[in-house]
Amino acid sequence: MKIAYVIIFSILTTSAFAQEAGVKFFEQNILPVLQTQCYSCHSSKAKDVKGGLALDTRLAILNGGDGGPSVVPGKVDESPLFDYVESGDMPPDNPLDKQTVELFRKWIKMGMPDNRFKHENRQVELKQARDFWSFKKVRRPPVGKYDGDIIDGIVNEELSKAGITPVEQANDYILVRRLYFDLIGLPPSEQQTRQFIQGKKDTRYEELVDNLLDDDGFGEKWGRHWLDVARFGESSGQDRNLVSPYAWRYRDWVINAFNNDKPYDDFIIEQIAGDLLPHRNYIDYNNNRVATGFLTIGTKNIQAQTKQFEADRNDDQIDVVTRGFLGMTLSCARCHDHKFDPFSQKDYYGVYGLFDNTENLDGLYRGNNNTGYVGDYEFLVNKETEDLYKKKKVDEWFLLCDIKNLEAQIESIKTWNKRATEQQIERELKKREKELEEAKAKLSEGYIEYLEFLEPVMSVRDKKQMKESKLAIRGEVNNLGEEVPRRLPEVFSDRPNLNFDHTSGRFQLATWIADRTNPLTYRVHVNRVWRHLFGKGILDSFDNFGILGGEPTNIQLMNYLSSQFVASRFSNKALIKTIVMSDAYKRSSDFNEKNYASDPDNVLLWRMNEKRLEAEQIRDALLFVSGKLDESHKNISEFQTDIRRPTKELTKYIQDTMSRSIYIPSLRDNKIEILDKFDRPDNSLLAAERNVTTVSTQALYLMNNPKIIMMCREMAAKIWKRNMMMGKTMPSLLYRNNIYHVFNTLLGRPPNKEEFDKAMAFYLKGTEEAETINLVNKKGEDGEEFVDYQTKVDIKKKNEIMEKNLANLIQILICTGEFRNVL
Amino acid sequence: MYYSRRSLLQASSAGFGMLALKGLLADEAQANGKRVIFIYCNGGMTHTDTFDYKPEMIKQDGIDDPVSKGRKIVKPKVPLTPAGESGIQISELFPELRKYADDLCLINGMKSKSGNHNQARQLLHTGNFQFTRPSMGSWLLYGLGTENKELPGFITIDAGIGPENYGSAFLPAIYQGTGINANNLNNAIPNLKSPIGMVSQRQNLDLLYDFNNMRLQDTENSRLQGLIESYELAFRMQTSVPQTIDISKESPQTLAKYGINNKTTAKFGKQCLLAKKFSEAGVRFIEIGHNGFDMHRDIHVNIAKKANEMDKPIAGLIQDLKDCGLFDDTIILFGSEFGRTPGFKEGATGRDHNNGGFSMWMAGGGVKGGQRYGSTSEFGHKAVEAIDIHDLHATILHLMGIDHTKLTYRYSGRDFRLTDVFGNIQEGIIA
Repeated sequence: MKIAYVIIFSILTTSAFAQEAGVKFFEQNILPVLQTQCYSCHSSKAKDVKGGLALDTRLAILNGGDGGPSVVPGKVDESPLFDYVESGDMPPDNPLDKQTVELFRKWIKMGMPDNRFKHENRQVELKQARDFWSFKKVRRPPVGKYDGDIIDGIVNEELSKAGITPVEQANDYILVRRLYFDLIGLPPSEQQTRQFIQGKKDTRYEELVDNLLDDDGFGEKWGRHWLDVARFGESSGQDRNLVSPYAWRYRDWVINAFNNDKPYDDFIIEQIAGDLLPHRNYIDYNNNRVATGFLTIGTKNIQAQTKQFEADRNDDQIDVVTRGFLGMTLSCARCHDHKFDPFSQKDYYGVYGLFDNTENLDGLYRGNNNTGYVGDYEFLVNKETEDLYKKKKVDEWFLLCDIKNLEAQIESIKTWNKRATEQQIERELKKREKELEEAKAKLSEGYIEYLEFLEPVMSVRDKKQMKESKLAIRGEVNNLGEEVPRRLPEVFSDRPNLNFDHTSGRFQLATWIADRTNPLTYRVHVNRVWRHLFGKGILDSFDNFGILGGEPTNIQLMNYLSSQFVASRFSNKALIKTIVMSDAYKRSSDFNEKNYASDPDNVLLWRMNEKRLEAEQIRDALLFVSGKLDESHKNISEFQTDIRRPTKELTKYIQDTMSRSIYIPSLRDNKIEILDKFDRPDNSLLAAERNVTTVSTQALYLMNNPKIIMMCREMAAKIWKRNMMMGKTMPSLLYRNNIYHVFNTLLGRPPNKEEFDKAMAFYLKGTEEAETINLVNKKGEDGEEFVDYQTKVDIKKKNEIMEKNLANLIQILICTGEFRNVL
Repeated sequence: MYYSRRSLLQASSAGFGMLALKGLLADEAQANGKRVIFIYCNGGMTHTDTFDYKPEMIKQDGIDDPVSKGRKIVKPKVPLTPAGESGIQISELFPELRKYADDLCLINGMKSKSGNHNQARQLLHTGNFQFTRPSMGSWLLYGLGTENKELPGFITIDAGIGPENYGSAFLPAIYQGTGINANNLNNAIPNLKSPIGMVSQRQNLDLLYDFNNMRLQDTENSRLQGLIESYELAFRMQTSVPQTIDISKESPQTLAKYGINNKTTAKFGKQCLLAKKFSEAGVRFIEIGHNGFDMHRDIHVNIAKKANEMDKPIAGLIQDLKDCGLFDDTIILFGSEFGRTPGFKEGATGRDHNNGGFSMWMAGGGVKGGQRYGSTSEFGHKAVEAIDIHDLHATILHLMGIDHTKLTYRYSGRDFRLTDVFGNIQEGIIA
């Protein structure tokens, strides 16, 4: 019942349909009352706004007055405004009649629909917007009052207010498996679990945390989360879906950034504006270029008209930067002012200019079906070309880059579809051949041999000439309005004005986003990290911290983590360690009836939430437990540099590889059965949160897929091979050990008595078929003959049966809920 | 693919965003539609040779194309003549389908924003060609749920097109299309066959049930309950799905109805028969693909060939749906991503892409048959009484009882729709 209520409520508050119906309701029933009865004291136009409460925008009502928020949408009981009108205290001289009061109740229950966001006075609107919680400065909560762990101090305070006693700490087996999956995305081996269990009680936990944070698996696990947000894919997507042979460099950059604990502010700045940063050596130079691959890896509709193509690409970049880092849906303001958040369409085009003045060196040349393949790349400096860098041979370097690009393009044009007209081909060829000739002529002697060492990378750079962009009316590229100078959205312009004269402004944008005082950036980030560890966010909206995103369940906690993150120099490892060291993290996920009754959604963290493993973790764990995980991997450029279509070798490799999932070449619209079955997000879209489904196709996959069956059989065969070598061990002990081994390996714990008994019965199932009974004539002591039975066991047959049973048992454990969850 | 009410509720509380409940989406009008069969002609079917009767083409055959320079108007080789009581003109290339003229609503005023196959195809399927968006079938399934929990709710039978056309994009993956290979029905849905046999498998599942059940300490653990159910359902699907798609037991009469006994029509006939069987089994959206309509060359020969392959099976499908009482709640949509030019280029034997005007047709649940709806200019270049793709989508949703403005999903901070901010329901199509 509770769940149903929540859902119906969410429909009312979120769907456009509800918005419309709700707005109508508001306009007919509520607005007239507000205007005639309340505005005179409670609006921005009132001479003296009573109690600091204005009621003339939705935001103002949400922010409330001196006494805090006046309405909590959906919650009549928590909305002081309602108390006032119901009790007749307000309006003071002229209480509302019962019917009207009921309308107010209904309106708040509906989620307080209100369409007055189009405020006549933009400045008032902005001022109110800045009062919204996520735009307010992060203030470190007073944490001196807590003894011991601060996270626990904050969490437990809320729990004790609610009279809830949290559950006990999880047992050792669960803790170690939880840490392994959460920190490196793989389960512990049987031996690793044992090591922990036998370790020194007071130090082993922290030691394990430190070791795992230092493991390369850390970047492979946490890098994957960022790649979801970065909509990482290795082809252009859409209809042409051209291959990106070098996008993997960016993927590796992300993995390394997490492994090297690159400060998160640098992580931001390098991805948005790496090309504009100073560099001390060529390693830096390369790093900065690879990082900006972030901007270039979005999907592109190569066949769109030039203007549309560029507008869509810029939009993709605005979206990934603002939603990815700030949790702001600025790209909603592409066609019209933002419907909920304080972004005007002009705000959008102010930021648009930054990207419009940026050149994309993504290796793609826009064109239709017949034309257009290879475009310009940026290039990395390496050992062979290092002296060019050292001697600052800038002109020579760029000429070499041009030559490399032109040569590749000339080759590419020669492969254009036969339907491209001869004039087209000739025109494009001629143009480039001329440029190539000129570049070669300009290049001083002795440099051309460097050409073969140039390694392509996807990157960006500022255009040579800066130009302001025009607002596209209704987002239509052929319907341009006024020019909008480059700037940040107005709601943020209480900051010093940035100077965009000679550069695109990406650097200024990046440093502003990464500034330690930015109220959004670090809240968004710590909330995502929290979600990956706790299975739920402090705010369950991971890419929208605007009005529709709602409010955090524990703002103190969010502010503490955010300020702590900034104070500890933006270290992800420090942040994660702080969280996993808390008691809150170590709790078991056990059910507790009493607690459940008062906090069914576990908002207050009285227990740990069970987390379904992500698709990659399920695949990696299967490979790991079966001993097949391949530590090496190949990148697309090892298969092909041609971008037109994936080669057979590449697509075969994608299906067959046993490397960790993050390294599987990530072409767009490419199916990888196991990952798709377990909710891998569409890599064409930014995904700050994944769906979790439980459906029978997953069951069918784990029950019947030949790869799974083979894996289980091989595991069983391996165990039996070892059994055979243990010659004289008592069979019953051997079988017992086998069962313990598979439980420990797959679930990270030994079986309990009941499980063991059932597993043993299953293991021995059918072995009687290997027994034959012979009748033997015997002579008794008394000399009389009698018939006796003699059981003969066909050992080979029995072993075969048991090996088969063991394979089935392994598969059963893989199918359990426990295997696919982190408890 | 299976989602009980319970797991759906749980799923939505776990962050699926808004859940579409029919009651809230309901359109005011009485809707008949329960499912859609979309017969997709990949490549851009010529409209002037098939369903858009253009008398001026015949009168002025051979003149210079007044709209597109360098072409000459070429009339259809086989005439379009009145059919049925309604007398709407349909090409004589479709002798069987003509018998159902009074059931067909020819939509002659279609137009598309793109003349490029991939883009136009994606627009037709998802309502957008700039970005990755959920397919029409995914939206319908999301809005209405499924009637058969043992089958995928959105099936494509040899669609022959990329997954961008039938993916669920930001909708949960359970709403994506599942491809069926009609030529390999033994392995039509992956992982459906148990390699260890059903008896052993049952034993495995019994132990699995015990293990899972031991952990079900918490009666509110709906995820674990959902998991347990998912295995039981999977077990049943192994027998029920092959039964559904088994056509070996169909009578010779049925096979003949779809032309499966005839070499020319067998392949497409099989697709149509499967579509009917899936309809019967409660699948929400079924797409049948047929390739080869991009006729830049030898169009007269090729369109005759294609018509031959499809005519009998489609007529068979309509009749069979009628016979088992499904026709009145099934919406059949037939057509392409765009049409073809009325003129040939100098020396050419085919027609090129024409997205300014083309034809589709609809039949079945709630569709007003026996009429031509919308129109193109005198030679068929441009839609005059125009219907765009969003209008088409809005109308289909309407026929399925959904208000297209209410079927939304929250992603990226806003509510998305199949019809974006567009779409006008075409009342004239509706009976």
